[in-house]
Amino acid sequence: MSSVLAPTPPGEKHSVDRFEAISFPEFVGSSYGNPFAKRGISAPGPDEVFNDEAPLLEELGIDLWAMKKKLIFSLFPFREAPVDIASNSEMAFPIWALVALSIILLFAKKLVFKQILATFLLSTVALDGLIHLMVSEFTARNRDGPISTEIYMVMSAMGYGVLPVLFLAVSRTLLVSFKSWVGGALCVVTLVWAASISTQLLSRAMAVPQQKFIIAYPVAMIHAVMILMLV
Amino acid sequence: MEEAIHAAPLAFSAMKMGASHYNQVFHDSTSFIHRVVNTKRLQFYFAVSNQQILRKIGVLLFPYTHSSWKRQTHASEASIPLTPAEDINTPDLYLPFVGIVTYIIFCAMGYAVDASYDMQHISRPVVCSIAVVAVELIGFKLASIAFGIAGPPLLEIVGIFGYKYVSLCVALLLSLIHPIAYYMALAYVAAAFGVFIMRTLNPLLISQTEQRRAGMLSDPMVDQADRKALMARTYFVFIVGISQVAPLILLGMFRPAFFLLAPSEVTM
Repeated sequence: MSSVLAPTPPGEKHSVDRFEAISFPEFVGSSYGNPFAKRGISAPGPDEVFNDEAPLLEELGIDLWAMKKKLIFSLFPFREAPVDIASNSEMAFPIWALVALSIILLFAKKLVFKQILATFLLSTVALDGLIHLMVSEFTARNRDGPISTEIYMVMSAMGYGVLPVLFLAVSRTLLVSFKSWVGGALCVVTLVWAASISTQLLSRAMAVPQQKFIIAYPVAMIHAVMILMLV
Repeated sequence: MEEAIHAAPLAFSAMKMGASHYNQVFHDSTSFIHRVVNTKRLQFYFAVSNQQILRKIGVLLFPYTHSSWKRQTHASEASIPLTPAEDINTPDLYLPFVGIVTYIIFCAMGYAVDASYDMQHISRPVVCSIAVVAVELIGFKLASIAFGIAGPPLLEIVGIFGYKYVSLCVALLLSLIHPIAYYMALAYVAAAFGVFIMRTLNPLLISQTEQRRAGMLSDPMVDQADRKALMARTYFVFIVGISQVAPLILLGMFRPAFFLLAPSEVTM
């Protein structure tokens, strides 16, 4: 049976298979450019559509429930994060948020795609290295088993801290001039908010409440550098 | 697996521990990073906690009231070293590392507000701090060989001498207020850090002599040699403490000219 993408050689009839629900015009000559030419597998009907394939979002790895829970946590990060949302590595929102941040800053006549993405990537990898050094078997002597620091978990935690920076970028572009004290206060509030989101997620996922503030300091520095890019 | 839990719970937990240990050893032996750097030793120096960091910064800035500077040993076994979280006198590497990064970001940030981006403002502090760390490490190792002292291990030397970046950052914060405030803060920080490093190095270098002196009764020849060695080491520690002023002044030269209360321009 030929594959879907390769045209059937001329003269060869298609093999009979289970996707015979819709009848298309017969194959004549080369099938390039002819959208109705019959290929190796004919188009399946609406009932047998992609029986063995997963839904699109699941194939892409976008977990909407986890994203929703994490976003609701990000809006009010001052209570303790549940472990299941702290330790899952939802990467769709961070990627979208970084690109959206760069696009919003285009309205402010700043072209910062390269800076924001590069800063986020490098600083998250460095933070992952630092956390891997800090959270070890020495930190809690009665730990059983090794601690795995997954890079995507750290990236996800830092990426959900970009949400307040998005709000700040919107307000900077549309509403407030940053030369006044209101802009400065808004920057500080955004920094505290973003740092507390990421720190809560990280310290809950690594189960190190006694190291929360020493994780918070590098996280706050990284977010401060990103905020400085949009000022 | 469920029947294993009920049948022999001890065997099950042993199985779990064995599996996790095997995973860790496999991961350590095959990953690239573990061939380059000894992660376990580094992890020992990064095992810090919130309270310990705060106390350490307090001791750095005000070392005059800290009473016991000796490194403590584990309560039951003397061979297990205490992590920085358990013993405040153990040098850690977290605070120097974060201090260096804060120092670099501070030097660069004053120019970021002006939106004048120049790579020099980042690269000069980076190169300077790496050079200072390397020179101090090499100098201390050479001096300890010259004096015949068995000094602390390499990472601890980096840690002890790296604490100056933290005090320097505090002084740089005060430099935002007024240029004169910076010089006053620098003088205080140099004095405090000198005292800190003298008192930290003292137990590490002189303990051998004092142990011998405590063990033996007064034998005149040995006592004379001991006293000379003790004096040599005391001078060494004193010179190390005094010479910390030079790196502090050098590193402070990269600070931005950005003041909040000075009569000249006030941006932002």
